[in-house]
Amino acid sequence: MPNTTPPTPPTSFTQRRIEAAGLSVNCREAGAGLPVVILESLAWGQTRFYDALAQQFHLFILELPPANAADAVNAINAVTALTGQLIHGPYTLIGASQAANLALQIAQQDPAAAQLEALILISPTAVRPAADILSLPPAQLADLLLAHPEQATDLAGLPDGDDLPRLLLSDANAAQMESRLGEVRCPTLVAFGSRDRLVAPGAPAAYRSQIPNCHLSLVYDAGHLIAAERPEALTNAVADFVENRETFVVNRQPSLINP
Amino acid sequence: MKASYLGAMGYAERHLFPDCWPIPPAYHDPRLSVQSYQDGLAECEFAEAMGFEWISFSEHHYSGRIATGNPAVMAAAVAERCKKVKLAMLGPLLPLNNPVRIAEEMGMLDNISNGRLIMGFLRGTPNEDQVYGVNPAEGRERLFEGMDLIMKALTEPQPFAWEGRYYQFRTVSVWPRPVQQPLPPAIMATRSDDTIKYAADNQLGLGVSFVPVEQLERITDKYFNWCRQAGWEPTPEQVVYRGSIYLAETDQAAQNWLHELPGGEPRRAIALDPHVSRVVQAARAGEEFDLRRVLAGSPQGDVVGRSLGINFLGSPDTIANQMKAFHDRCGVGVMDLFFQQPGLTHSQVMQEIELFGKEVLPQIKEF
Repeated sequence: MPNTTPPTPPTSFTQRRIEAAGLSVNCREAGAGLPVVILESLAWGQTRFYDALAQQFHLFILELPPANAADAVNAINAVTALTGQLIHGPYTLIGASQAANLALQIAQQDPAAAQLEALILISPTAVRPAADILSLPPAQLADLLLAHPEQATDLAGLPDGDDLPRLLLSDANAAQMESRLGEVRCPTLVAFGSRDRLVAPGAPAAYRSQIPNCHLSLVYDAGHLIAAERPEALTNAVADFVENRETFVVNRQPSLINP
Repeated sequence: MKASYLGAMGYAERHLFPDCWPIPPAYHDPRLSVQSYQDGLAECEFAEAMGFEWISFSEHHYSGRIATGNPAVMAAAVAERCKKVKLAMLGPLLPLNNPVRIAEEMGMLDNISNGRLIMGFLRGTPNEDQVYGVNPAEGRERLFEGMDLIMKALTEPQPFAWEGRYYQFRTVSVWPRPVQQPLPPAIMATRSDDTIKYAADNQLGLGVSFVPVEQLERITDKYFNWCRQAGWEPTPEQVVYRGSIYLAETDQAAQNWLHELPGGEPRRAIALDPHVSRVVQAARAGEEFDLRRVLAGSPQGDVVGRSLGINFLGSPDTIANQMKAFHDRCGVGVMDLFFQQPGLTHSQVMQEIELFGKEVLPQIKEF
């Protein structure tokens, strides 16, 4: 079936540098409406997803440096402080891939979690990463990011070298991360591509079963970088959850053919 | 009065399910599940042998409590095991399904059973709207249009196109036609005024589930009045009540069973997130629900919606008297009974069926 969704016009983001708790990050901001913070570890392929979200929400994108285990606690405190500078009130926090792991930790921690209206984890790698992924050469890892790498037009634009694994995968102890899933306090959406090869098959169910108020969304025919392969489908699920939280399970779309 | 056995096909360890809906498939053990369906089929066979005249089926999803997501599949299996009973589809959830598909299933079941089908139509409980992503605000209209389309699909002698509000088909030509002509008996399962009126205006039977006798009396009074206004009188078989039952040798034994249950009552049947429940109820009522005017949900996933407990409880004589009230006050002619209470084993259910057949059925058949 042809895609009848009109393309989203490119969004004009304002940029500024913000600092807190020893962390300096670039912040891109656009749109109006409910506040949404996106923690970004890998920008590649995200443009259409960001543009579509900025049509509906007040978007803040924080560009995070590659993380390591040693600065995890600092990163939580710093991002919490940065968000406090940007937003005064409840907001939705989104993280993709490695940044989802940081978002998850923020949602587990008082008092940062108190401001979270909802948490959205896109392709998180904190729990049950696929075996041997970290030991793969970056070039081979890049091939595993997409369900259809052969259709990607600018795969060469991906970061390479040692940065790529660190942009995708958490150094945190996976068992510890999993054991703390029950501490998330807000409604949570976890999205995975149905063909994500960076996590073990049991990873999606682990989030759904252990986070108390959690919904799992599988995006058909997408790999780890869902936003790059099926941005409209991802936007649909994410925007609905930002707007309606756990009640996104109720379909509100009219289906009247003719009155 | 006739008795109907609800073929719930409940999963053997349903008493271990959490108080939520949906039930995660992780609870499913294939070995137990296969045995549960075999037990359920055996219960249907035994109910027929003990004098039940109907076996009913009900579409429920995403839970092993009533494990018949596709009731037509179950009815087809029972049709081959039970050769005399009526097969009552009470029923498919019309707003969720393609009405042409339902018409095809009805036609096949009436043929497979050689004319033993009873058709039922209902909208479904609020949680069911989520199963196939139906907009709850559209359920009522989908129900009405779906019923009309099914009736036409089973009776029109030539292929036709359907230009509906919610359904559009350019070719409908259902095969096979029902054995019972022009149509199998049809029952509308409802409690709401507009659908009761629809049933009366269209000479459909009425099915009501789990309400107390006082509430049922108010419903059936309306139904009988509207039937009279429409110029017809329902037969006893056109007033069906579905209730849950626990039957014991003595009243004291039944009370003991109840008191030994956790919380002193059967476990909750359907528990939805409170916000989801409110959104669905508001949509069904044609109202808006502003999520941001209420506090954020509990991290534990609060639950709302309790089962209505048990409708018939006691010794054979006590239960026969309880059922007589439904007959005398409400005109109920068919008692459709849910025996598979949580925690009961297959052998306990079989004992109840036997006791019911020997000591209750002879009494209620006289009503």
